[in-house]
Amino acid sequence: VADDQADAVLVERAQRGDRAAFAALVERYQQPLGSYLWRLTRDRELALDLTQDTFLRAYRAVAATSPGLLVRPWLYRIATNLAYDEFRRRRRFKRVVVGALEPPPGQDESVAVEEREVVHRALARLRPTDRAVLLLCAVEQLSYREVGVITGSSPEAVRKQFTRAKERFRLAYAEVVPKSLSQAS
Amino acid sequence: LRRDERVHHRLALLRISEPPIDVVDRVQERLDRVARPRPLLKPARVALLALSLVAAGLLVGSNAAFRRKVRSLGARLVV
Repeated sequence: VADDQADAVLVERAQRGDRAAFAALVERYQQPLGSYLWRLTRDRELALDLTQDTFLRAYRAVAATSPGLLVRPWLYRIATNLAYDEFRRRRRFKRVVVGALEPPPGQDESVAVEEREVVHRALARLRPTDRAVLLLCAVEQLSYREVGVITGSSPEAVRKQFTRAKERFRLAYAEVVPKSLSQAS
Repeated sequence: LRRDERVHHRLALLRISEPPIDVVDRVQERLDRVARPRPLLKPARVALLALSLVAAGLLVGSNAAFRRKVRSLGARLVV
C-alpha cells in the first residue's frame, strides 16, 4: 500500500511535467520490468530496448492517466504489449534464442543452472501469451487482479489461463528435459 | 498438487539469476531529445527563404504607388 501511495505521488508529479519524479519511477521499475522482458525474450539487448521503450511510452501516456492508476500493472501491460508487437514483427514465436549454459561453479549449483536452462527451453516452446502469464503469476508474483489489468481479462479468467499454461509448461518441460536431469530431480 | 508444486518450483528457478538492467540514462537522453526543439532541415530552410522572397516580391509588385516611384527613379537615372 505504501508503495502504491509512493507511486501515485510520483505519477501525479510526472503528470505536471516533473522529470525527476518520472526518473524515480524508472529507477524503481527498470530492474523488475527488464528482468521480466529478458525472461520473456531471452535476449538481453532486446530486453533493454523494450524496457526503454516501455518508459518512453509511459512518459507520453502519463498525462492522460486517471487518479488511482495501478502503476505496476500499467507498466507491465505496456511492456507486455511491446514484447508481443516485437514477437509479431520479428516472427519470433518459434525463434526465441535460448542462451548457452553458464559455467557451473559447483556440483549442486550446476544441477540448478542446468534445470534453469531446461525451464527456459520449455518456456520458449510455449505461446507468448502463456509464457507471459506464467512469468507474471509465478515469477513476478503479481496477483490475478494485476495480471488481469495487464492482459485485459478478469481475475477468474487469469486463474484459468494460468492453470492451462502450467499444464502446457509441464508437457513442454517433459519434452525437453534430458534423462540425466529427470533422474536427478 | 505435487505436480503443480514442481511447476512452481521450476519457474521459481528463473528468479535466481537475472541480468542487471539500467536504462535511466538512456530514457533521460531520449526524453531530452524529444523535448529539444528540432532545427529545421537545410532544404526546408532554403525553401522557406525562397518562399519569403517570392511573397515579398508579390507584395511589393502589387503596390501601385511603389511601382510609380520605381519607374520615375528609373527614368531619372536614364536621363
